[in-house]
Amino acid sequence: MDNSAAMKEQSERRNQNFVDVYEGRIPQELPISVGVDGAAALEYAGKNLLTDQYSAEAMIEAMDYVNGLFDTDQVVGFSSRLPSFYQLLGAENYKMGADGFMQHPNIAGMEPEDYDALIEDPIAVCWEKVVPKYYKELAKPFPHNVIAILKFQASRQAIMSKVGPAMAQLAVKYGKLTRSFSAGRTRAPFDLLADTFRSFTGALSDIRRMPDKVLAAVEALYPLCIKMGLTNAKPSKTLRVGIALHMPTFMREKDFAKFWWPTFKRQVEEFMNIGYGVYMFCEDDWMRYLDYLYELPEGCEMQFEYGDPKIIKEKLGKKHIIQGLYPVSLLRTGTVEDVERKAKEYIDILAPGGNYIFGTDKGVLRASDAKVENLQALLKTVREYGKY
Amino acid sequence: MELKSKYYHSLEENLQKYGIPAEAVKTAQDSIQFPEESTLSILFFLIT
Repeated sequence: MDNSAAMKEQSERRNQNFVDVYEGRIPQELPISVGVDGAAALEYAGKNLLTDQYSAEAMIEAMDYVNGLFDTDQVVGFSSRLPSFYQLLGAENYKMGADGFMQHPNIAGMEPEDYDALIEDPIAVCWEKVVPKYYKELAKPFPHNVIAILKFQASRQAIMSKVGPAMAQLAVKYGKLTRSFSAGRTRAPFDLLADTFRSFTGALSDIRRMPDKVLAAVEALYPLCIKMGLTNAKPSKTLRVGIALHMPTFMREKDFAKFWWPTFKRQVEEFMNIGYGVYMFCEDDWMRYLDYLYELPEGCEMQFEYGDPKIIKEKLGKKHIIQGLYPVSLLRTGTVEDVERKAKEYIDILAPGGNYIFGTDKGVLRASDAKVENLQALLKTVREYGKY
Repeated sequence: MELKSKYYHSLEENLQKYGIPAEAVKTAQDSIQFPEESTLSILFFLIT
């Protein structure tokens, strides 16, 4: 078999492993979900984060390098939060740090007195309050604001028209996933309220000061959160609406149960009733909320950051797909032997009976997060040991 | 659940807004409604 035929066969096999898990079957091999961010890719490739994030060609070279270096299932090494997009808009919500890494400051997009307007028309508040606060160029009068958004769109198109096709070519070149398993990405309604409108601290304070407004606001945001997650793709269990879950571990359980959970649960049920699957990233430690997660419709993919894998498997593993938990920190601090031993430990706990996608607790954001030999050893171990 | 806003309109609403014959509901999905949906996607990118 020549190399291209071997890569094609490998892609098809890896596609099928994901399809099998998403459709409730035990795959031949464990699917692997390990992400490497665009910044990490540039650093691994020896490029300059301060300058090369502006070049589609440099980013494509870096992606080619890391996808050859790391035998991941997915094509890795790109981030859509690029500095050019945000600098053209005068962004306050994404800023480049001194070393070139993009930072995301926690700012409130609206004030408490804007709740009634948010409840009345959330999209109007986004355009009229949030966007001008986040983006200095868009707060300027016509025609400056229109010119700024046209430049932003042109920059996105210039980059994505090169990066998109390049990623498809890299999937073929390295035998990675050639099928997309991702539908849209959205937020839980309360998380959207906190992240976009009121900030982390503002939302938690509002729960105490104006609980009725908060409840009305999350209901008002619900249709927007549904819309954000939908795509034109034909619904399928193998297409996952992605939701990163931010606030619950910072909330008291009674507040979580009242303000956060009901609209999220309804949202997941609605996506699954339409026919999509749902992927959620349970950020931080969700051990105290496992009983809630169990209530969700069967077949949700749940990536965990921290927690006890045995208890998670025992409580959720027969109903939902478990992902994550493997500590990326070990790829920075451990030896190859530590990395291999820990991978086998997690596979022994989580793989029996299926419903498991091997994954790390978080993506590799910077090259300093993972020694090359450790990430290579991790992927090799999962490939060899993670067979059914 | 229907999304309602003064900045987001259904195809039927857009046909009325831009003075396009109602019969075009079968043919105007790409030329009229796609930009509406695309603008909403840009908004999602900007606010998240």
